[in-house]
Amino acid sequence: MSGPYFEFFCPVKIVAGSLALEHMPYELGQRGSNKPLIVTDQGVRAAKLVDVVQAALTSGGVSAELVFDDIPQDSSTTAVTAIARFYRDNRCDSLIAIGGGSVIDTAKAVNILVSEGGDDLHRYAGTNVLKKPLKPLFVLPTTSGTGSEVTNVSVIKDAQSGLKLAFVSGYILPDVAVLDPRMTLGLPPFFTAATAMDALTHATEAFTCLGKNPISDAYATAAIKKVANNVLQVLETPTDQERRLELSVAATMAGIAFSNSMVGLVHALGHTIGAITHLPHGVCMSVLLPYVLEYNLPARADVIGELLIPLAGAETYAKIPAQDRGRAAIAKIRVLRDQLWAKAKLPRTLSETGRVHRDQLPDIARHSLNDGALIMNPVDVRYEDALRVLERAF
Amino acid sequence: MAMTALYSAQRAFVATMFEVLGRLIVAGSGDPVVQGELPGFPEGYTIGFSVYGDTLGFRVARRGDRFVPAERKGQADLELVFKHVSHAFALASFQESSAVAYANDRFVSHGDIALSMRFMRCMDRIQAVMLPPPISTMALKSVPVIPAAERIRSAAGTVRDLIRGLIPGSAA
Repeated sequence: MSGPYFEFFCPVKIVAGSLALEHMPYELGQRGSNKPLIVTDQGVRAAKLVDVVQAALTSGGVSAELVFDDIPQDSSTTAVTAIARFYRDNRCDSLIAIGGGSVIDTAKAVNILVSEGGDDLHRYAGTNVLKKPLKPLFVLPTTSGTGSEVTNVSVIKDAQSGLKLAFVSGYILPDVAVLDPRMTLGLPPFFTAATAMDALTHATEAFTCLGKNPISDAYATAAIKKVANNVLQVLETPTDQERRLELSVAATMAGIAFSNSMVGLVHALGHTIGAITHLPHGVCMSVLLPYVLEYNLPARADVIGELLIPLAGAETYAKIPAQDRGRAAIAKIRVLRDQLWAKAKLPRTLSETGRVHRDQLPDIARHSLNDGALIMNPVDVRYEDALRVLERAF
Repeated sequence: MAMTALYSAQRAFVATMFEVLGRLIVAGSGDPVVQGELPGFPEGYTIGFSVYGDTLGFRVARRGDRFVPAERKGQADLELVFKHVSHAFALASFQESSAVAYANDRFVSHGDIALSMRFMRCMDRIQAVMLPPPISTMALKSVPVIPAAERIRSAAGTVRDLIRGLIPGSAA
């Protein structure tokens, strides 16, 4: 029989903690860059986060006046081409992305164009099309959830067809991820909760699905523990920089875990719900997670049971018989969701979101079957199974 | 020397299994479940299996309401590339299911992800119908319950088309 085997890859330098932004001039210098283009969106600009970054850069001798802040919520090839042109016109030599998933994905795609040349992003769509390193890319996440700062994927909407173009390559990975607590201090409670549950779901699926490996497991369990130990406290005291940083580190660790072991049914269903109803990704993840774990439980009780250690601690784990730990771990996640509902109104069911209607469920189930995340789900999923999970989550 | 003999044997086995698999996909495309998936592929869409650094492989294309054999020229629209003959052997000899092989990075998939999922469903269905249960449990993540009559009808159709495909000048 064939034995176990895995691959693990994460060349991103993580610069994290107090005054992390002030390390950027040195890190840019190490990569021969002194004229970066900052890409962000209007929300981040309005929150004055760009000002904080600019201050850290200019005080370190780096030019930081070039900013493109017009990235839409649902970024497209049009935005990517416009930013690439702006970059070339101003002879920039690197990119700094400040924002959430959309900004980071856009910056990754811009980096393809400014490094490879031309304006036709379609040429680079698909898996492993890129064959050489790109320009230096620094990513400063302003949410603690997507993990995009350490993933090798960018998804951009084609402005002509409306279809999503996926770019998958090790070369897309940023050079440096900067995690500074100042970047997430102003995140409202609802998004703090939703993005934390996004990170928790990344880590949980990384740990419970078929692509798991010993190294991704270590990142996943550490990320789960950090979310479980800090998200409620951050909602209680939003200005707590140390706990904010813990959530940012959790999101990055979960990102490293799932970009190496992939995700499963929660994401397959969540991607489709997001596409059809425009429900935020983190909300989809939080709603679906316990229902999918219940679906996978018969085949994965031992692995799901191990989640109890990072979720509830070794003492609780030791008190519960092995055969009950899977259910106890799921119950723990349900309790966390109840607390997040109480503190931040984060929905626990699809009906609580107010955005998903029962008659949409068959369509969601059908489309989810074409999502690549299903490959790694430990239990096979057919239309009827997907629909049953959605019905339960409703 | 021993290693060379092992690889030669594995390569011969993979070559045979690729031949069988290619023919099964073509013959099995008359199955009602596969028929339901086929319209989702663009007309002329090509799907290939290959092994990195080797000439082994096969290719099929969607033509109308069937998969048909296709010429191996350039890269297929959807190409599944095994990284080594030994990895293809592990899958072809049912030591690793396709899901586990993918999880273990034994092969990479170049092409549209949604269509690769659709093709996986076709493959799963054909294997569920044609393989004896002890083998299908090794090849698939889970074996679907197919009513006996439906299974016999589908398998008979596939075998008939398989035989037709072996007769020169006869379209499967």
